Amino acid sequence: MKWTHLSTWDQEEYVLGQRTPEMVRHLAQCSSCFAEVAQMEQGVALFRESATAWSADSLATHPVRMPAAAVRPTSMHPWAWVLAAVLLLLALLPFSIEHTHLVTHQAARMAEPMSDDALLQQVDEEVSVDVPSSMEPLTHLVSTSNHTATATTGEKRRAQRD
Amino acid sequence: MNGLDRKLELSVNRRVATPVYGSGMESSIYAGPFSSVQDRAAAELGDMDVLFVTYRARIYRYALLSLRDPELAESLTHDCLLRAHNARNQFRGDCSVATWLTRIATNLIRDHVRSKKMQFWKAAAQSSDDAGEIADRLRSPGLTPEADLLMKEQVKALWVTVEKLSGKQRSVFLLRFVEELELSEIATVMNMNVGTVKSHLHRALTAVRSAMEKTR
Repeated sequence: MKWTHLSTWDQEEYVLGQRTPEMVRHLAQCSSCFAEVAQMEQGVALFRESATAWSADSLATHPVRMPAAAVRPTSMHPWAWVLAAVLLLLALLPFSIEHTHLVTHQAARMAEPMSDDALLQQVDEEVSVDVPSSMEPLTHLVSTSNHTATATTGEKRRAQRD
Repeated sequence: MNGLDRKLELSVNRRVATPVYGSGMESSIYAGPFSSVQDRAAAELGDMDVLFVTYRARIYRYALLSLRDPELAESLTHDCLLRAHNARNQFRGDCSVATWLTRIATNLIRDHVRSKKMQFWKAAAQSSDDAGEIADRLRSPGLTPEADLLMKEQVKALWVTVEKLSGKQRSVFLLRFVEELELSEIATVMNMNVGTVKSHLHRALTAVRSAMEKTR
């Protein structure tokens, strides 16, 4: 019977998990190939164990620190934010209404047309004045010249009598 | 199946069957009440706390092994989970959440390495010291002092070997043998076809075999 050992490739395939029934059968009967495969598997297992141990030790020395986005100790439900916003708006609503009312009232007063009574009274006052305000300086001039002329005439009459 | 074959099968399957605490292989706390995988994924991605608790250890380990810098790995892990959470609407469900997160982490690692234009896996001499420290962490109850010493020498040689792999070979190696992703998942994560993934893995395994033979 011809005896063919597993090739290096086949042995590595076995370690990689790509096994055929022939490989399994051969390894069960061939101590040489079995030793080769076992040595590779031992190397892989040693590396894995040391890697896992190192990682576990390293992880144990690091305090568990949640990523920034995941730290939400005081996080509020989105509805809580909505409720808070509504309450704030409700609290500010009276001030807003009062302010709006004042502004509106003032604007209305400014824009309100003068009433008819006031207008009539103003016209009446202006009509009842003897001399219009624009002519008032002239009235002063007229009264002064009359007084001077009267005085001059009286002096002449007194002198003629004397 | 004879005894030898069974022993071999057990040795291979043991690593898959026993998830390590903090390895990211624990079942999600959302397992159960959801009607579909898609619903469960949406729930996980939608809740940052759940995402963090479920996947932090896994992504951190991958980042740590890729960058060998604990602070950077922690920062990148946070960045990865935050991005996944913010971009959860883009998750199409054609792979698992873990695979999707690993892909994001891979891209972040690649971008970081490119932006810094430096080799994160340090010079061989210093890395050798690091590898020694990593080997010393490995607990080996029940071994004789000689066997313990040999094992630590092997671990040290393995780390130096993995360090010397190319960036893609190393990533693929880590994803297959530490994160235990399927070849198709690795192809998705690395954005390469399965044939290329296998090619990288064969080269990595050849290097591992060589390292183990040297320390035998």
